[in-house]
Amino acid sequence: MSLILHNVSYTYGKGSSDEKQALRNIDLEIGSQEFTAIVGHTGSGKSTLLQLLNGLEKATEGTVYYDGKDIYDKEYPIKELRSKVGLVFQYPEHQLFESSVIRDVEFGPRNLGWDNLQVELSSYQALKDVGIGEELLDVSPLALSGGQKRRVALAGVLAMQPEILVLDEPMAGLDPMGRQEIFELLQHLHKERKISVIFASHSMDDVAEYAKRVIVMQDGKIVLDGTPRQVFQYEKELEQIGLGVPAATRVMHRLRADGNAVDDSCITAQESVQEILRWYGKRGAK
Amino acid sequence: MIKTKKLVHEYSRRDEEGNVTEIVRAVDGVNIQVKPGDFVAILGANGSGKSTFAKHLNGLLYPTEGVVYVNGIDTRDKETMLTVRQTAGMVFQNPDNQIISNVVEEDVGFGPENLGVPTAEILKRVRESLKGVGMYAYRKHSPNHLSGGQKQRVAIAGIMAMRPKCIILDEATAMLDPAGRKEILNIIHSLNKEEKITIILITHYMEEVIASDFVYVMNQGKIALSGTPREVFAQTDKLKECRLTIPKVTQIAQALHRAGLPVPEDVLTEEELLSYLEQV
Repeated sequence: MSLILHNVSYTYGKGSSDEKQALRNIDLEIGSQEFTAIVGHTGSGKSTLLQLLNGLEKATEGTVYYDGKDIYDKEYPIKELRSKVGLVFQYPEHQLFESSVIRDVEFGPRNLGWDNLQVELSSYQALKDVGIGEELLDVSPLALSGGQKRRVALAGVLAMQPEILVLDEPMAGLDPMGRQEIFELLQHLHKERKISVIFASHSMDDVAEYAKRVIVMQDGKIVLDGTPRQVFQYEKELEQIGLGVPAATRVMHRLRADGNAVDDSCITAQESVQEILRWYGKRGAK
Repeated sequence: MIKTKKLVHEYSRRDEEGNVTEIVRAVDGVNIQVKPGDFVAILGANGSGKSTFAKHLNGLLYPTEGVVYVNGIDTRDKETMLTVRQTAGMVFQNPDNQIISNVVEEDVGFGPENLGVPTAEILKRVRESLKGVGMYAYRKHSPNHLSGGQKQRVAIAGIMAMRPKCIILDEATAMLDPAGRKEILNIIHSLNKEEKITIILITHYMEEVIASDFVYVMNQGKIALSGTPREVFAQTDKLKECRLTIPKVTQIAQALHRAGLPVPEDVLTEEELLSYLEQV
């Protein structure tokens, strides 16, 4: 499985007075087994980019290839792509509309024209994966808590058995424990179901903790792409585009800037604690 | 400035026939006291009751039991409701739901105009409020083209134009990016310091409350913890029970403390952490 964006640009309201170029000449490859974060301030183009990945929006220039096939080709089965690349919007729980949890989750796979048995099996499995118990299947989605609603919305996309899960700020509005639970769920899906996960995030701490790759966007372009450890070394550049680095990285960069011999490539709290202990022990021994 | 006494808020869930199936106590006997000029934070997880509580502080909801006083006025008194709302203005989560006009300065002038303020005075207030939030240059713009942080600043200016004594921010930064959140925090801290406006900040972002004078932590409709940020963040386990955490810098400090380094457990900022590490 691979998704390739080749020289993709996207312009809103082309030809009108409000014309705005949201993406500029993007080249990007997303493979299988990825756990990738996309970061960038509001208006950097990350939401537009996410919506190109499953063909929801069409690039005004350039091409998107899924498994080597041009998805803009007339013959291309775009509906199938929408199931293979599952897109979860921001605040997806606002889009729950059916009268019961199970009906809401079944909506997607049913729409793909699957037979009943397949729809049911897939929906049950998806609900199980997100940790929604059987006692809630016939409950109205409106009666659930915020965190449960988000899980149900996620199950609705998972029930279509995507190979790539694309999420626009899946943690927005959740409390710290809720964020952690969603991340653990995404990691579980990534490991057990072999799903590639692509998520937009504003939290550099979360990115450092969970992502294997980070793509940084600015003005519709990809300006940095690498592991969190590589990307977060560019503190000044990231600050300049309104993003910054994880708290742990900031602490280590400061220590180092003050002339202390610490390895400042730490990105999580745990790493920085270990490195500070090592440095402190050595200093004491002198 | 604001005082609640044994405040209770209940609402009922109904089935399809409209029969009451359940009575939910969203706020359960909350006492808080906020002095004029204070910067107070209310922390709580999703569903802790903090937003329901906030809506009592400017009379958007009435107590099921207990009393809320805003600047000495009992919010149950419907005749003084407008005075209460003018005294304590509220900024909500979604910036798009709070903007009414097509031009920034008209939007800001809407509140005082509704209060019957004379035109010359409205113009003066609009100018001052927009300058106060750093949005004066955008006064002729359409709010639709502003960023989320800028929209929230316009919403704050709209409240400032009504000359409130207190501003309540109900998760007003939740939908903003880090730069937008920083903008809003800077503005409310400066309004608090320069204009002596009382601020009540409702949030679940730990980093936002570090600079507050006092923090209340809500859990299941009750106040589970309260104190200065330093006192509250020293109670990691209790915060966990409330589905909250401590700031990353405090996490690092606590781990170092446990490992025996001369770093106290209640460090809140990077500067503090560095100063402990680098002294010797």
